[in-house]
Amino acid sequence: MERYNEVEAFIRSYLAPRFARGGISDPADDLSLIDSGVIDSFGLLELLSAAEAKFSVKVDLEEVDMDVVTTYGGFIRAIAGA
Amino acid sequence: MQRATSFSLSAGRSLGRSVAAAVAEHEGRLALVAGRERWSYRDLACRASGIAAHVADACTETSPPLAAVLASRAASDYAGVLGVLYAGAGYVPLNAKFPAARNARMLALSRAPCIVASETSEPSLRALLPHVARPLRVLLPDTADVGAFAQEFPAHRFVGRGELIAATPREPLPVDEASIAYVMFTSGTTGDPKGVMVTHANVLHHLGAMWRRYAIGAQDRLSQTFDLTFDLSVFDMFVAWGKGASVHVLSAKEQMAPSKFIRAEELTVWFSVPSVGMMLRGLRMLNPGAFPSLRVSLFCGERLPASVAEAWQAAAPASIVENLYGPTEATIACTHYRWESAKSPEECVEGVVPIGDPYEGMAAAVVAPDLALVARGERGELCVRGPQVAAGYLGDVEKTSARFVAMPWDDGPQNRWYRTGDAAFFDRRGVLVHAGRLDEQIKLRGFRVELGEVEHALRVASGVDLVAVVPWPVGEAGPTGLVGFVAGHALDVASVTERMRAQVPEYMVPGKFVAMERLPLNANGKIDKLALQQGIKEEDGTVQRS
Repeated sequence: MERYNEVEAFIRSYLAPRFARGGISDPADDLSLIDSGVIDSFGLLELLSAAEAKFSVKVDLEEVDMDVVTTYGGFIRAIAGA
Repeated sequence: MQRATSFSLSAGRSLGRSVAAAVAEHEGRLALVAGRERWSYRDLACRASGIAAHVADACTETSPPLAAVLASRAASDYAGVLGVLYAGAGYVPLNAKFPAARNARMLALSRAPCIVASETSEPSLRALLPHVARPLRVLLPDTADVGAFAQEFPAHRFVGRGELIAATPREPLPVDEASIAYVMFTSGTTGDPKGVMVTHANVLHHLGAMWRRYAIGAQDRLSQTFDLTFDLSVFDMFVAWGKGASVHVLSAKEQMAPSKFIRAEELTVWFSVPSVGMMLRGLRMLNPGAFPSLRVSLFCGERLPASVAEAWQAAAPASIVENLYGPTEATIACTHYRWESAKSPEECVEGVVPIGDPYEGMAAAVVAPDLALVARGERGELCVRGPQVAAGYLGDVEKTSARFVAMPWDDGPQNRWYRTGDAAFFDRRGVLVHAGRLDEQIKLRGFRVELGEVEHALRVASGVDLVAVVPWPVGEAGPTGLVGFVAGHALDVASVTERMRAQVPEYMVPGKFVAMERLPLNANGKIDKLALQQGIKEEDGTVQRS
């Protein structure tokens, strides 16, 4: 749980300007980051690169369910569990 | 210096007829995959035929006849495009991701009396309609009951699914080759988008060159990575549908891991902006042999780094890899460079792949400001001539005559050149190398952006006259974002962002804003954008001027 919280703090901070732009104060676990317009596919890949570098992990996008990993909670769990 | 190639054009055809011929020959073959929909040529043609009847009826009194498609990567968007063409009209792509005000402006400039919207575009349509002053014919091919729309927007006439699918494919209405096939709006310097009018002859010439060069056949399966508001999408649709091949539309999520999609759909032709390859490479997804089914890989829209071309070649060993170049005004792409691992690395300039040679029938020249040809190796403005050069800008004779010009040194019968505004030079082998822009237009992951238009939107949104927008950060393939500077002590970033998002597409809204008491000026008294760009540094996600 500690790892999850640590990753969430990083992701929330990274996406803070984008959440602010979308009027999202408390993102739900199942918030679709792409469908909600918070970030586009390129932006999410950039975030993934940044998170991988920050936490020294590797996420194989070919092995994950894209519908899950593109949600707020799913993305955090993918990094925290990698 | 200039280079030209010869061509021959088959006359008397149109995009609609090209597809109809393929429908007759390949009726049961797969034509389109988009989301859960998998349509045969017959499915596609029946839907296009149903839509065409209403488009033709709505466009009887407009010239040029144009109809809009509010696109969101849904299967019905493609039926809409083809339906408009079957009706003998030109299509005007709008984008469900764009702000309603921008879609409304493009619709107003085109004077289209008719619009097609899929179910996924309906929220955007609801936002758009209150901005539309004229009565519209609204075609909703996914909607069975249009009663709610009719009640909500009584000024417009709505047509639902039941009336928009023909029982059998019909023949497209005949059109002249010089008729407008589509009007593609691009960023304009004055704050208004400008509509490039592209004719059937323009596109058919390009298609002929593509079919021959890449030997496209009915067995091919093409990617569709581009939104319909990006003219590179025209390649995917009509290169495929003229030959009985299929188009496979990637959703935003599928674009994040296209390896799966390429394998699942067994794609043979890939076409995207280089940014896709860069991101995949960065995430270690361009593994050697990853894309065994691909035989043609094309990149266009921004600079292609040599490292990406090389990695893609290794990932798709059975594929050719080409870098294409072309402004919308020259119809999709007009030059090409084929990557060859043995010799290309040394032909790259500063690690960027050249843009190569003109396609058959097209000519390219590099000229000085007085339009005189410059010598090999000298930088100048890249100009292109040939049957793909578009008809001009919709309703803007002044801009058209400024950019589509005759050259004082060209005594040929087709002396009409498009001044691209791109800087380029021919290298010592005579290969064209792109060398940036001569003005303030940039490419953001393939999207063409006039910084002047973004600055106009920022002025409106902030209420401050003294503003500047610079591209930042700048990566291997070019800039990937924008930073907006506003003169003043403070700025309500959330409010300015929201107001800008109401005016321009998301990719034109700066990701960061900086309020500065004084913006630096250069020796000419203009805002010194280079100094602003060089002064940006990132510290914990904030931007400051050092």
